[in-house]
Amino acid sequence: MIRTIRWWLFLGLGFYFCGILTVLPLSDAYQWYRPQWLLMFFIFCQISFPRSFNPVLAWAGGLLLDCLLGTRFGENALIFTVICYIAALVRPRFLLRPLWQQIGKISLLICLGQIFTLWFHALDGHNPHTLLYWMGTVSSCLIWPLFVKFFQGISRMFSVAAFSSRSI
Amino acid sequence: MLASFILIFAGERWPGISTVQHFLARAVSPIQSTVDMPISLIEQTEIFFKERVSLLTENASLRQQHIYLQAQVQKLRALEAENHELRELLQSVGQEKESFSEARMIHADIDPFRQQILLNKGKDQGVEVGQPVIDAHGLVGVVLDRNKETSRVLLLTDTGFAVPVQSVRSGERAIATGGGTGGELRLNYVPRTSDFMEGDQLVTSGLGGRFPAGYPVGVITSIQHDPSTRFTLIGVSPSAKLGQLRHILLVKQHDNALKQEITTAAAGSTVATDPKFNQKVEEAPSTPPANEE
Repeated sequence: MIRTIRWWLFLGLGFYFCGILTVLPLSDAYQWYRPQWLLMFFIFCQISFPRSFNPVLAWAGGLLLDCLLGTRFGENALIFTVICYIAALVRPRFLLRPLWQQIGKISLLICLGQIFTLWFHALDGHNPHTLLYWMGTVSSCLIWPLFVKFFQGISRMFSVAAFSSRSI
Repeated sequence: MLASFILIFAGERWPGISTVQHFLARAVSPIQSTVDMPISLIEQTEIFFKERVSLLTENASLRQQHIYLQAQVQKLRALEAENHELRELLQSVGQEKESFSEARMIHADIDPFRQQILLNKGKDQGVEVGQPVIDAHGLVGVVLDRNKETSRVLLLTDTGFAVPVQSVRSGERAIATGGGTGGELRLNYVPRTSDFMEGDQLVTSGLGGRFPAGYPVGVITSIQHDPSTRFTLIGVSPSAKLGQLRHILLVKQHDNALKQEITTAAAGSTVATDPKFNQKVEEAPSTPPANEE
């Protein structure tokens, strides 16, 4: 029971923290370099806590993000569900790979998420018309090792690491 | 996935969905408040520690400005009274004043591809969807969505935004739409023979009734004649200081003013606006209303 509460606290805190980083004001020039914080957090949760986290939770988180950003309701929910489902599929092989290969796989997942986002924006007529759009994937990959270390530390603090069968 | 698709493509048609959306928006509002808090705190501290001398100078300058504006208001009052009198003579519908309410922008980056901002006022403070938003320099946008305590404003530079405008110099009308991330507006489907010039001030024409007439929208910065098309490409720089928004005004139109603007709209004009607000394409009446002689 206490473990469950601690898990939900960890999830809520992680969402809150990544949500803040997602809407933190940045100048227009740096907007493109903002990592996909929430997508990274959900991928981390899917890979680290496969028994506790699932794509349904990612879907709920996506709906919350839609409300936070004012995007089409269900847009990020769909993206997060698909990405987390793929992350759950690739997880067994993912954990056996060295760090650089893990980063490569993460980049593919985040890139896929950005492709979906681009598709939705194109439907609305909000095409970015710049290759800088993909810098979000690059920055997410660069920050991924630090991001993982940080949230592993937090999960240990909340004693939820035991939920994971294997750590990254 | 299926649930997401249903929400994306059919969610807007279900009234229950907006309730869920508002509930979830309240759940994530602490994130927006947390982001806004340090910036607001810095601003307030800056004001608190501002030197006395600079405050006195600013006060003196504001006093001068106040007197100048008061004089202008007096002149406007006289003109308004005269206008009212003339309207009564014509037995037309009386034009009510718009009322304003002040709001503050919440510092939080929302979707970077959609030109939107968040305000610290919502349903509880009487904000309504579709309400025009202005700053000290001109039109800023329109309220797109409102929650209990916050509201989302679609800026006029967003590609989904459209406003009927009129040139102050020539009286020529057109529809201005947002240019997207470039921070400009465009005039669409303007015939080559139209009387627009670089430097022309554009104001809201009031057609369609969504925006009250006479608010500055922007200044024409470029006119390109493309030989391959029948229309002229016109670029407009917005009058409102969109990069420095802090305090803005929400305009509330009274029904009479709306009716008046619609009925006095120029004949033959067509107004297309953002479909998000369920606006209809309105044709100006070809015959005058019964109460106009």
